[in-house]
Amino acid sequence: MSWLEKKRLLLCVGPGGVGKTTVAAAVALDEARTGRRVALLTIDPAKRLADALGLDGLSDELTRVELSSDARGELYAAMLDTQASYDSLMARLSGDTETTARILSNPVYRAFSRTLARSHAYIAMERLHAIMGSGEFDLVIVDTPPTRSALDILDAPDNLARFLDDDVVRWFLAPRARGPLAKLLPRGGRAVTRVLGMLASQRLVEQLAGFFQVLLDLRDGFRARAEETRRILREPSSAFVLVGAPTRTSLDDAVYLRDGLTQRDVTVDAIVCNRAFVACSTDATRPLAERGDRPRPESTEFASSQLGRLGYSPAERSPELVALLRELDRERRSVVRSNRAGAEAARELRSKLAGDCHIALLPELSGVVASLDSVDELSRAICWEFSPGSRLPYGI
Amino acid sequence: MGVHYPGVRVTFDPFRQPLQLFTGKGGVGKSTVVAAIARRAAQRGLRPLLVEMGHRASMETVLGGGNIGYEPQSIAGVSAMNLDFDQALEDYVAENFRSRRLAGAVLGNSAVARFVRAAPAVAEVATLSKLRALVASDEYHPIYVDLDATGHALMLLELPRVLDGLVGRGPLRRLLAALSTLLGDPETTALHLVTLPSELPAQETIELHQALSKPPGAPLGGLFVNRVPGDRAVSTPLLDELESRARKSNCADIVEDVHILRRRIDESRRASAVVKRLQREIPLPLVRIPDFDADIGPKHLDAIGGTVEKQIA
Repeated sequence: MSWLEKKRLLLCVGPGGVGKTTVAAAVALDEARTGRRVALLTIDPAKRLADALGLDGLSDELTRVELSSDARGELYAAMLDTQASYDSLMARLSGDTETTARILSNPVYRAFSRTLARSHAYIAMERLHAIMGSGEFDLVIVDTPPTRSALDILDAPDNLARFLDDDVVRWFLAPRARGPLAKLLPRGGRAVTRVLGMLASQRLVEQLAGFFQVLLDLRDGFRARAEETRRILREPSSAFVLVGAPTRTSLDDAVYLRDGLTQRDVTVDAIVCNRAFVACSTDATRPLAERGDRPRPESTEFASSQLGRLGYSPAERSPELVALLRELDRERRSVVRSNRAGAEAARELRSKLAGDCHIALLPELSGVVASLDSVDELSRAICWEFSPGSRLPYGI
Repeated sequence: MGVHYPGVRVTFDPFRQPLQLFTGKGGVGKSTVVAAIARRAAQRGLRPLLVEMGHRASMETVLGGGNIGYEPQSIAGVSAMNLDFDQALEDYVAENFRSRRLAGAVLGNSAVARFVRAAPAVAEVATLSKLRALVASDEYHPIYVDLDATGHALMLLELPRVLDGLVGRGPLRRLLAALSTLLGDPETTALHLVTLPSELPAQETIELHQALSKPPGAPLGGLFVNRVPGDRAVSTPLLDELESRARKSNCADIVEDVHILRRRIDESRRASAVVKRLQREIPLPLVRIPDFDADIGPKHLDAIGGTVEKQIA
């Protein structure tokens, strides 16, 4: 029984370039195969999940992925379209078409929802809330953007809710207040607005004021959702999975991320070390190991011993053949070296995280990892058995 | 030195323009490439500055330790700084008030602090403003910037246009105009792309290049392809024969060896196909950085710096 069985939400976090999207897809596939109904949501602004799942394109709506015949469950996937998600969120929150139109045409809203990095974070949490709330799925897996943004995602609901609650919004609305009403404004408010107007131009401040005015109307909705999302993220049925590669930079990033998560009362439940080893050709879960009994490739007995084993007669021995045998041996040694370094890195990573953290090491697949077949292959290599206390599978 | 390419406005020479921006998706080794070039620049007698965008520590890892802060300091022979958003913002406000104390007081207000974190574009404006100040001060040359990720570069470059319609007269308008000029001038700025010779990063780079080429167009420099595997000159018939012998003689270990070598040959072939595709689709000078199969460290950086310099000479 996998520890994942009791989980309803999985957030995959980690630095860029470690194959986070592919790992999220592989875990989703693995869980769907066991019979669960899984939703996979990617918020990576780069359009990679569609490739990884072998789909022609991936839309903002959850789309069913065709699985192999042994799958007992179902898999749905969507890629977050920030603009579309914002527009529909505003429509849901505002309730009437006139307010919706007013929001959607505000220039600040347009700029904010379409182009800016951190706005991905707000909407990601919003979508998550909606999908979890629908109750249609046994498991929701979220593939987050790289490191820093993963923390933004956690902060997003709180930031927005607190921000809307704040005096500063009223300061922005200050230019509209005249006479006795102005006295009701928070002390120093007008000074701050003036300062911001000076820095950012009066016109921008006015437009921001218009934007905040409409957001303010939706404040209760935002606040309730933020609170609920906050709660969902910290429930025991929610898990954070740190995806990393067995390299120095990836380790440093992972530790940074772990610290950030801890500060936010979130613990890392599992680590996936992707591309951790080159596997044996016969078993994708077994790392290729050393051949201890061979002579060193540069020694004279190396060539004669290997050629003898292969049954080459002295007449058949050519310098090319010997060179090839040496090349084969060198390559083997280099793979074994990096497998060992990978194991070391995985061990170090685990030692830096909490003791009761699950760990899975995934092999480096050969070929292109942009098809459903290769995600399928990877998903079959997932094995969470390297749980607390167990040795990493390297025999070192 | 410097190569002119038809249809490209920029002279490709990563030691020439004062502002050298590098972008590429996470994990392609961007920080390593930028650090290697900056180190080479220092060895050539220039006064380079390495700028890392806040909240990460990859540059510290690449340079082998130290604690990179907002104030530039010398690490592994190069000056390096972390362009932290909060301090860049303080600089921006102070510049407009001519008083750091007042700037501190405004930003020290917790409501204002919350505002700048939630409001759009504040981080981007403050960051660009600091870069501009660094270029203007002339203390460092060139300034090498390790941009966050693909999307981030686009966002920074588009910022002046996105905000254009929103901003009335005032210091922000003047700043945006200055930034537009700075980022559009091929004599001042060069934007380089860093990628890997594998399908997904290459595809993303091709799309990024298309986006960057749309008018008015960013001043693009070079395309750096990192970790290119070496060619494998192996005779396939010989390998086939050896494999069948290994199977016949039950040498499972040698069968496994052959499997690995085939895998490497295949990887190297696929990598050169990707490099060819990049060459075809991105009309920028392409710099190949071999897969040095080495851990990070000054020697590794120097090997990369050397190979880059050789290819642009």
